Order: sequence, then C-alpha cells, then structure tokens
Amino acid sequence: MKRPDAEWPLTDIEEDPRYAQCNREMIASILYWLSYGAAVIGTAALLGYGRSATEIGYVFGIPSWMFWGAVVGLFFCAVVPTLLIKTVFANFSVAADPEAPDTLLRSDEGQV
Amino acid sequence: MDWLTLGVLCVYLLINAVIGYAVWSRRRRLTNERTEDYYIGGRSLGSVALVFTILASLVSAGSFLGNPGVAYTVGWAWVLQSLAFVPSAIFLLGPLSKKFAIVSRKLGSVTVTDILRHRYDNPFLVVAAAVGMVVFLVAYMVAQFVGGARVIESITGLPYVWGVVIFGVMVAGYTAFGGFKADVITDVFQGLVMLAGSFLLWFAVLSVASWSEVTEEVRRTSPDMMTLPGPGDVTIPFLTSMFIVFGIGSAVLPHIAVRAMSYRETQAMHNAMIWGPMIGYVFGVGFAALGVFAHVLVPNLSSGDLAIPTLILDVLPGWMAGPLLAAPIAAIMSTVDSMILVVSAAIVKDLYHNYVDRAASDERLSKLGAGTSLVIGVVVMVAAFRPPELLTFLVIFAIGGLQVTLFWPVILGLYWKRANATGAVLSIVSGLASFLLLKSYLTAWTLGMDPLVISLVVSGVAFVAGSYATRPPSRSVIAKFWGTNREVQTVLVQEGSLR
Repeated sequence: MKRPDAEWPLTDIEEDPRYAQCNREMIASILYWLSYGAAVIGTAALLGYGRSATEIGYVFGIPSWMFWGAVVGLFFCAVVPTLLIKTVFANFSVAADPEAPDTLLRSDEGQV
Repeated sequence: MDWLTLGVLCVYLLINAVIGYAVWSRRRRLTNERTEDYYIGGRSLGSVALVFTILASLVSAGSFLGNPGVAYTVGWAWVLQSLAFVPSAIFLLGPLSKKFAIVSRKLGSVTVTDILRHRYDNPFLVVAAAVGMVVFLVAYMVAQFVGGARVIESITGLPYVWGVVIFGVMVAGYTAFGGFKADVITDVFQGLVMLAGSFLLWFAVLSVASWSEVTEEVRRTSPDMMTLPGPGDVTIPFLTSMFIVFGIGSAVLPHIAVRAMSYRETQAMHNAMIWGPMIGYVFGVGFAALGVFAHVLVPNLSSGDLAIPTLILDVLPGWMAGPLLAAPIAAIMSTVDSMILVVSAAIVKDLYHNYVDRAASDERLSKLGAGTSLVIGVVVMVAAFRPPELLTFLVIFAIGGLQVTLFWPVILGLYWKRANATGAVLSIVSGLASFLLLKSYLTAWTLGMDPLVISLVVSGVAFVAGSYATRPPSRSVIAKFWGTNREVQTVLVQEGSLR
C-alpha cells in the first residue's frame, strides 16, 4: 500500500472535482467567521471599551457599544449568510458517486 | 408543589415519548436496519430538521440557564459575548463543508472517529478519540441531568431524584429505541418549543414592564453592568477566545459534527446556514438580554441559574409558565440525546467493531447500538443520583478536551494532503497536555484567554511540525480523501481482501 517518499506529491490519483468547490466554501466560511468576530468585537470595543457608565452613549436605554455590536451581529446573521450562499456556494450532489446516487456505499458487510 | 406547571411539563414530555414511540414502531418493521440509519438517520435530513437539530443539540442548559444567569450579575458585556455562538450553523457546516458529507458517504463512516481512522490509520488515535468521547461526554451528560433536575426541583418542588429519573427514562427511552431519527424529530419539536418560548417570554416581560423603565433601572442601580469589560472581565482577549472556543471550536464536537454528514442535499445545508444564525440570535442574544432584565425584575436571587426560571414563574400565569419551563428542559434533552448516540457509536462502531468483532454484520451492530444507548442513558441517570466528586473536574475539561483533541486532526485531515498520523498524534498529546496544564495550574500563561486558545496554537504547531518531519501519508489515504468514488472503492476493496 505504501509508496516511497520520492513520489510525493502523488499525481496519479483521479481527484473528485467537487472538492475544489468545497475548498472555496470552506475558506469563505473561515473568512466569514474572522470578519464576524472582528466586526462585532471591534464595534463594541471602539464605542465603549474601558469607559465608565457615564462616559458612554445609550441607545434605547442600552449602552451604545452593546446596541451597535448587536446590530452588526444581526447584520452578519440575517444578511451576510444569504449573500455568502448566493455568491460563493454551489448546489451539487453530495452522493459518493454523483453519477449513480442511489447505490449503497458498500456491497459487503462488516468490512472496513 | 406546583401541580399546574408540573402538569404542563408532563404534556411536553409525553409528546417526546409519542415521537419516540412512533419512530420506534417504524424502525421495528425495518428489516436490515443499517448503522447508517440508526446513527445518522440514513443521511436524509432536510432543511428544517438540519437547522433545528444543529441548534438544539448545541444549545443546552448553558445557553438557557447559565448564560442569562451570568448576565444577571455581569450585565450587557455578557450579552455581547453570547454573540460568539449565534452563527454556529455556519461555523459547523462551513469549515467541514460538503467534503465531509461526501467523504463520509464514500467511506461509509457514521462517526467522526471513523473518518480519523481512515485518514490516519492509527489505532492509538482511534482508541484515544473514542475513549475520550465516552468519558467526557458521559460526564457532561451527567452534569446536564444534575442541573436540569435541580432547576425542576427548585421551581416545581418535585424531588431531585424524581427529576433525574424522568430525564433518564425519557431521553434514554426515545434515543435508544428511536435512534437518530427520534433525536432529530424531537430536536425540531424541542427547538420550536425553545423558539416559541423565547418570543413568548419577551412578549410577557414587555407586557408587565416597560423596556425603558427596566433599562433605566438597571443603569441606575448597577451602572457597572453597562460597562465593557465590566464586572465579568469581558476583555478583548476573553471575547476573542469565546469567539474561537464557542464559535469555530464547536464544529468538531462529535455530537455536532455528525450533523454535517447527515443532510440529504446541499440545498438543506444552505438553508440551515441562512436560517440557523437568525434562530441562534434569538437563543443567544435574546436569552442573555433577558438575564440582564431579570436583574431588575427578579432581584436578589441566590444563584444566577435561577434567573430565567424565576422570571418565567413570576411574570407568566401558571398555564403559560409550564410550556416555557419546558424550554430549558428541551435544551438539555436535545443535547443529551445527541451525545448518547455518539457515545454509543464510539463504543459499538469505533471500538467494538474495529477491535473486537470485525465480522459483525451492520444489522447486528445497529441492534447493539440501540442496547448500548439504553445502557448509557441508565448509567448517566444512576450517576446523576449521587454525582461523584470527579464529575466537576471532568466537565470542566470535557468540551475543551474534545475540541483540542479533534480540531486539527479533523480540519487539517480534510484539507491538507501532507497531514499524517505522527502530526495528528503529536497534536493530540501536546494539545491535551497544554490544555490540562493551562486550565489547572498555569492560568497566568493564558494571556487572559480561554486556555483552549493557547492549546490550539501548541497542538497546531505540533501537528505541522510532526507531519513535515515524518513520511507523507500513503497513496491509499490520499485516494480515500481526494479521489473519486472509483478510487476510494478500489482502495476499500483492496483493504477488505487484506484483512
């Protein structure tokens, strides 16, 4: 089963073409997470970090850093996901073999 | 004893039992049930099922009782940090991506550990992951039962032990007999209860108290609850670590990750990513903010955990309080049922099938799985009668321990060809060691963040260094994880004939 190291990276394996799209979606999701965290924490920090209750602004009775942090968060939860799906993500079969989606995964039992 | 509330809770529990029974009677008539059916519902989840099962399994006593409980004393800063887990549907489905769903179908895997077995071909890793899951998740489940039974007792007067028995019998019952399908259908029901409960509670609170009056009162009596970092020390390092630990970190928790291999088609996955965050927002921000309101509406409680239940009982008429109290109960049950199944799968598929009886038929394993689920439920229930001292210790390390063990091996295993077993093993050992040390002794070294963050850095470095320092993975591994189905089946057949 094992090959000598000199043959790395292996080039003779027929690769599933769907994985390239999966990689793109994975990266987009990571970027989403990073920007979500930065936006929420950044907004709150800029508006209120280290300030006392009298030094901060208030919106509808709650601290402005909380209000705007919540608004930014809501934007990332209600608007951005749809944009993300529409622009980066694609629909395709996730069957083991997209040409034959109804086949069982294994014909034998108890192995592997 | 509050009979009315108890009565309504009973109706809620009965509905769960009916769901479990309905799924079981369909299951009984199946000939040739596969573990793929029992453990991941035949990979048939649609949009609604997927979104609710992810959120319900993730949200437990912590989000409905614990989180608002902390906000009760700490203030708005804690509401801010609850934003960390709100888009969890994206944090789960995105990083694991459709590749996880496709690969698990090609390999016939129904557990995360099995994916790791194929990727790294290392028995130590498989056994460590499986045993770790069993130990940590059982501890976590016991703690959930304990917490839930205590809340029921303090609210309804029902003796603690009875609460434990009710939890145990209910959850163990419908999970063991109904499997993943019962888990998911009850998740949808429980998720709807939680969602409806959230809106109802806000509506009720705002009808007895005005928003501006309450917020003014909080600001007047406890101005420090308006500040950031505030009395809870919600510093920027702390916030960042919460967005890591409760954000992307939850993607690899076994009872959550398994959902990423159980949807039928990509449209369901996309819909879950669109709707999940909004529903999560109601659970996370909605409940935490109620904790702040509770500070004024039900002041001077002995424990923050009682804030939401007390608020429910004080603000709502008895007939409404019952269903709403079902919400935190639902949160606990929906988490425990998914954990029971992955622990059962770890024992039956990852350990028993691989190392005790390779020849066991899939149907037999499925039946064993059901029996094992029942036993696990009973064990958790019995342990919750008199929780051992060890429990707190285990729970503190449980979720973080699982995360540091699984994170790099799963993520890098899926996307980095050069990742190999040595890297994975080194990352697990260094990750766990650093996590345990940082969490218990070297707390000053954590730089104000959750210890998991530093351990993830340590284990990540160890993974990369270990992989590069040793041989690349074999051709069969690369074929399994990058190849077409034809490549994969060729390898599997070769492996089958070698054993």
